[in-house]
Amino acid sequence: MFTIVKNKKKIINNFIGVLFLQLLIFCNYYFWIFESFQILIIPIICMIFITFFYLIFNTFRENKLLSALIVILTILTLGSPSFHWDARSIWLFNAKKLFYDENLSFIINNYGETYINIYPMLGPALASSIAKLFGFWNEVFPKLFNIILATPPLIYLNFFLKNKISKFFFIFFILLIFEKSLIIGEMDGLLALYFVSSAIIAFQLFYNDNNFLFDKKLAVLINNNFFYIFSFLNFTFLTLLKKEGIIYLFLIFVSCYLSKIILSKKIILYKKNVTIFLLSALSILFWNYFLNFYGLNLNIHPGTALLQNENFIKLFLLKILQIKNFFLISEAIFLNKTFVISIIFFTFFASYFFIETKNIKKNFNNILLVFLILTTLYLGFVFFVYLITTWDLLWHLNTSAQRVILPLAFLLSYFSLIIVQAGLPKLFAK
Amino acid sequence: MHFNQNKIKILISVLILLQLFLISHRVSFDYRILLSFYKKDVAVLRSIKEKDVIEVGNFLKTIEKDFYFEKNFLKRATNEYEYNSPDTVFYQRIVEYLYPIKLNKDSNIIISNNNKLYNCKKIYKYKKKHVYDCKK
Repeated sequence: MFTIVKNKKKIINNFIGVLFLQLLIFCNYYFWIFESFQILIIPIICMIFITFFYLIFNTFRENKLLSALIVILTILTLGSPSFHWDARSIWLFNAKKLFYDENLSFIINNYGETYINIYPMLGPALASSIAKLFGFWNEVFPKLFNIILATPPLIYLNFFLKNKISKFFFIFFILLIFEKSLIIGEMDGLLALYFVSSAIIAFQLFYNDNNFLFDKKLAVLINNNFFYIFSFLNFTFLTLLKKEGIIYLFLIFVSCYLSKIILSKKIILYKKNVTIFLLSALSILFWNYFLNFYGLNLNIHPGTALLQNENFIKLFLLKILQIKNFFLISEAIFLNKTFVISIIFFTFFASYFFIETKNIKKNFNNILLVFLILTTLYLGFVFFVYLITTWDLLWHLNTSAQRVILPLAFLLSYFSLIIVQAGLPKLFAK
Repeated sequence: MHFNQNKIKILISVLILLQLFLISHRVSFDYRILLSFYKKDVAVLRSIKEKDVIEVGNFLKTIEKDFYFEKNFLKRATNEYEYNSPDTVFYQRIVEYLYPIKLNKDSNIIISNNNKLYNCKKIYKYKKKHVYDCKK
């Protein structure tokens, strides 16, 4: 009994820490965006670091491996140069411009033209604050924003891992799937991490007391207002990391809602959940309004340019009828190293789960259905984007397929891990 | 059927260590950078990787004037399908390195690969990169 209470207390402390860290990052973002309260940026970034260290320390008592991983990733970040293209030319460069200008004039003036100035600024704003704390810009420490932003979803996803061996696998998956993408100053790893944590949170919101993730220890985290704030912050971060984040949030929402309709066979308006999703989309809508207000072209992304074309349907049909395109996209997506690794683990765990588990609990249906719909929609979205690309398809696939598949690869791996540990404790018997 | 937990833990631990070594190699981890991460000019060359960018950039930093590129150079450098060409890399790296010194179409300071530019005075040269002060 004492152990349960102790664990519960640790989990609650960690949860509050995660929530507080996200709240600080959120405030930091808006201080930069509104170009106001600049005087508060130093205190805010100091508090972010204090909360970050507190979380590492607190997590150490619960999952030593995860704490060690965050520390090691921090060391790797601080001991490596920033030479990756996306990191240098988009995210860190935007952060550098924000740091020196202390306003968004470089976006309004579209500085450099070939540079992508219009991406959301959540990551760059945090990197600029880190530079503010040091008082100058350099090529190493601004990348720390990656680890700080990755910590909340990592700790949250860790809550659902019930035994040591699954925690081992969790760390293994993170290193195998994300590789360097969580430490080089890019957003793709973070986007994948927030995609999976948002999917789990949305699942908890829609199935708050009838799912196999539901645990007495965690119940206290779900049915209260703090969880709603936490959901809001996670969803908002998902939309503010990269432009496709809003699509991912939409896919997650549709998957959960659709599964609920299919399983309950009736349409109910989940006011609270719908409100949270709508509120979470406000930040990115506000960002797009700002860009529109200054007449900045939102269509420069090759994935969306064709949508604005007058002959969109005709061009889209022409592209769809080229079967070769489907093969090219499939090859780039499904034969991708990251995806292959996750499919191997997923097949292994899932087949073991279905063969060995004689009584599949009824409350597994919901997560299986959410997962199935989400995977289908995600793949549909990826194929759609590549089919309508205005760039050369091969070139577009070569430069982005590996990054685009990260969210799905991590979802597959994490999902397989949690169904196995819940359904088959035998698998990891001592 | 079940797996021996201890054996799996050892196996995964080894794989985690190997993966960490691989990642540290791929991000060019260097303990000397780690020990001086708080210094202003740490890892500049290893981040930018182009010596000419740093040399030309350092010169432009001394004169503290906005700069621009010669027309043909700019055309080659901003071709999105040539994102790995030396001109594109030079263009991107120097723009990033020099900020807050900015690109400015009206600037007198022009960077070019050409040995001579009409109506311009060469003020710096490093390998194939020339910096000119041009009359407007």
